[in-house]
Amino acid sequence: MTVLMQAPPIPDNERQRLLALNSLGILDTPAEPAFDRITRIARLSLGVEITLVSLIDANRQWFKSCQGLDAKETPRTESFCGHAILGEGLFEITDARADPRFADNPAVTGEPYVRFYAGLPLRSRSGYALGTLCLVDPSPRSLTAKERELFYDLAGLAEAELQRRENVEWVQLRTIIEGTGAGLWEWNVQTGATVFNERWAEMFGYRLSELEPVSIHTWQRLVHPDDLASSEALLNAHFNGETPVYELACRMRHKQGHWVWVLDRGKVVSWTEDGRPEWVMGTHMDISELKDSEYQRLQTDQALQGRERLLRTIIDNIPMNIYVKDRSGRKLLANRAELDQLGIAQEADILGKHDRDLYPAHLVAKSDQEDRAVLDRGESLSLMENEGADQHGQPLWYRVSKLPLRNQNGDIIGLVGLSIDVTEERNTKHNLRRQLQFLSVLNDIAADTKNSLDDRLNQALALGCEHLGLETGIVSQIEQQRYTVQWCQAPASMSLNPGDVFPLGDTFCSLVLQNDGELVIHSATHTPYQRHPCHQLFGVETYVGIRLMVNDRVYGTLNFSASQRSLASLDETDLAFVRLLGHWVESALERDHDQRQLQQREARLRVLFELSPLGIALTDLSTGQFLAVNDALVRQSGYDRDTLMAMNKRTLSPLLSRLIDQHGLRETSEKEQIGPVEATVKHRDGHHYPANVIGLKVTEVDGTQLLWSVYEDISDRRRIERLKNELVSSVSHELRTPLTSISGALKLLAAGHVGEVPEPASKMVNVALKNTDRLILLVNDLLDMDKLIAGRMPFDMQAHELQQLLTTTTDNIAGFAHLHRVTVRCEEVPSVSVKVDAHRFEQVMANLLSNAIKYSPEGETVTIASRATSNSVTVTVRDHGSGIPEHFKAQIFQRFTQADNRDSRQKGGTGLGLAISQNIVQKMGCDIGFESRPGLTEFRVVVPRVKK
Amino acid sequence: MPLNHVMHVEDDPDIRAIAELALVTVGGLEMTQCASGAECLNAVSDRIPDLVLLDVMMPDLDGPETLRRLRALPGMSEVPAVFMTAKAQPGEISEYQALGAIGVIPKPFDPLTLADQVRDLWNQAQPD
Repeated sequence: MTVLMQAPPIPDNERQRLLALNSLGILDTPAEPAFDRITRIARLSLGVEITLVSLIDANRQWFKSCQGLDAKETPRTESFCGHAILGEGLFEITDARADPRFADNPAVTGEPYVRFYAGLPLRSRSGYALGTLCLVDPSPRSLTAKERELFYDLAGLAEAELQRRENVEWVQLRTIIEGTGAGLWEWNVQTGATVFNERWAEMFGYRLSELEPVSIHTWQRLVHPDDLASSEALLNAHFNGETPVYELACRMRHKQGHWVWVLDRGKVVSWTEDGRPEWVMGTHMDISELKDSEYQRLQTDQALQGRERLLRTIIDNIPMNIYVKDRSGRKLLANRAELDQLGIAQEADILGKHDRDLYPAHLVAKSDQEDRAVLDRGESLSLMENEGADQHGQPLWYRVSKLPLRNQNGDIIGLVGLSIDVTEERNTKHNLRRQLQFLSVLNDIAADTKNSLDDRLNQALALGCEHLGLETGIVSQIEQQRYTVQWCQAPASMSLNPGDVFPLGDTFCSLVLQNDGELVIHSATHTPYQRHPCHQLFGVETYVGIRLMVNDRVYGTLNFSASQRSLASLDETDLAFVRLLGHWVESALERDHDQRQLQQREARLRVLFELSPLGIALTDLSTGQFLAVNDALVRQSGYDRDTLMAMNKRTLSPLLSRLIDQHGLRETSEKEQIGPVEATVKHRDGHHYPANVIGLKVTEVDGTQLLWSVYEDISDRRRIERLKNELVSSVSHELRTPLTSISGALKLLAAGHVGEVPEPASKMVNVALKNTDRLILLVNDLLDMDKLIAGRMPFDMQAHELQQLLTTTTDNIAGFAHLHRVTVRCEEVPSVSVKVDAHRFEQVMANLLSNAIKYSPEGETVTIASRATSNSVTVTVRDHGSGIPEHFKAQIFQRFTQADNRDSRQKGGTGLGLAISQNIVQKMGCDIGFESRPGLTEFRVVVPRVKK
Repeated sequence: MPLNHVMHVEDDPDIRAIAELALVTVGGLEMTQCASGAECLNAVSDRIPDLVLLDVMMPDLDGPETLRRLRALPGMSEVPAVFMTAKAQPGEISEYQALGAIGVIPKPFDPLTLADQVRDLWNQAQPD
């Protein structure tokens, strides 16, 4: 069997029932002994587990007293008492599990496992069932007749206790009010709980249920925002006892959007124990229909009076003149501005007067004409600019509007005049127009590039004189105490000319420089300026001058002056104009200065360009056309300038063009420079000459790509090199022939083949022979060096046994070693092959060995050691001489160097040996190095191995 | 066959004198000397030498040209030639060898060993 718990139905009189319950103010208050006594007695005497005084609120049952249960409240839907209040008498369930209404009630299926329930309704005085006294037990049972009797008595006590709390006055009041059809509201000031009756909601087009749940916010939402503040003030007054009732006419928003005027009245009906207002009860009466009621009329009158005051305030404070005239032109109204302007204190003094009583005659006629147009023809005149006059008769300008004034029938009964003083605006405009005019002229001068600086400055000075109404205009230059007129405009009678010099102190300009760079003298007479030399000597009466700064330095002044006091006095606008003109003069002078500097700089560079011994050309990269060529290039190439300029770079040097292309010096390229590269240039006579060329790409401001190229004609250098080589070569050869004879003859002589040489002569022959050998060595070395440098020494690279090479070397040097009494010892040579030119390798080894021998003390040993790695062999020549001086180590491989210049004579040798050795070693792909300290010097040659 | 008669062509008289001493006095060889290529070309018609020793740098006919012309003369096509030069370089040596020279002796030469050097070259050039 499926059973469904049934929520208790809501009674028909639920609204009133809840009002009654709420009015008790008992909900959510602490437990009270009066009720607890009753429940305790019921529990003990009727033998149940749980007894409760349960009050049924809108959504819950709340326990005022509770025995045997911890809960303070439970949902109304699950309550047994919700059912109990519906009936007249006892509601008794003997076994809740057997009753389908309760079988699956959580209080039955779970804690506290209700089986037995008995409840009696507790009613208010007006008969609303507010709750129950009830009995609950977890065992099924029923009440005996005696028990019921007791239960009824106890419920009666509880009910009496509840009713004791009812406010009789309040209940009666409510009953009465309900009958009047007024909207009724009750509000708990402390909790915000609020109750409205259905009529209250109806007044604003709602059903109460549409507004629920209701609270004080329901009212706040509907009331007109402007009425909230006064409502609050009135409420407080009532709460403070200042008013017997709270009363307010306020607007409430109808559901359809319009406002409903209601009369809201209320009164505190209960107070908290500490004297604060608790429940307020009140009514809303719809007073919208009472249109002619006293209340509303009062409101309207007040509003009208207020509006008129407001309008008057506005009219008097508006910054324009306002007046009203009747048909005959009499003033009916004039605002404060109008009165002030006429110099009249009170409006009363002007009312009824005509324009002719108030304004100068010449102004009245035009005004009358206008008035007639408005009054007779009903025209509206707007924004006319009219002349007027102030109270002293000074001319003023107005922007005027005149409008017809009509009565309810549309007849014109007068006019309204509105006018604004635009005198200042007019003056400003006028000045502005004047300034604009001069600015445009100044602009023309500034933009003028055809005329010279002199012309333009003279024009500017003339313009300044005209604008200021002064006869003399000067741009002066001031250096120390010298005042020089540079440009000027002056009457012929003054005979003032550019170049005139005055002492600075005699000019007002001296004061300009002392005076923040500006000075205006309206009239010197009768002022301290009267005693100034400028006035005394030149009769300058009116003066305006400003300092000119050019490139951040004082240049001089721009000044305008007149000997008579000028008609129009100089004002701020004029000074601003002079400043502006001054700025332009400054910038014109600055530009001129800069231009001169630029020209000077360019001239300097041009001299460099033209005098350069190197050929220089500027070429347009995109066309290859020359843009500029210098004399050197003209000379170099043999063309005349015009022919050269007409040529294309490609014609002059096709090779260079190719190189440029190869180097990517094209328009899109990022690369900026090529070279130096060697290119051939085509001479006019057809031959090509070698040139070293450097190219630099530059990009012009407009994006044009240009190429600066510098051509160094190196044909001379080439010829000289060739000559030098030929000279060295031929001198060496030419030297060898006589050396052959000398050396041969001496050797034959020394060997005794041409007869016995006497002892002293033999000594001399040996000296000669030794020096001949040195000469031969020197010539050989020179030739070797020459060939090495020129790259003309051939190398015959072959694989050779190192052993073989070293044996040859030691054999060859043996005699030399013997001569120096030095032993040459060759340590064991590893059996490896090296790839070298045998002859050149032997030359290097001989050089190293001869050096080692020469620098070894007598009796010492020079050692050759070899050490092989997988890729190379290091051959070391070691001696025990004094070592290479520290300072000499860095230059040991340079040409013509020996540690001591005297060495060459003492030790023999040319100073070329190590330079040649290093060169040869490097050309063979080997390496040479050394280590040296006193007593031990090692030279190492590292030679690549040949794999077998 | 041992080397016996050497023809020496050299424009410089001093060097001719040294060479004569070196080859004849020191070396014990028989020797004819010419002061120019032209003289040499004439001289060989009198006697075919065992070996020609030629200076490279000579006015008019230089060493290589003289040799070229010698080769054209009867009996001279196979006679070994040795150049003497002050500018002996490996490149030049191979050039001279291409002309049929059996060797090059650089100047300045050692008069004490000149005859030995010439003999060595001669011996190396002899067919075994």
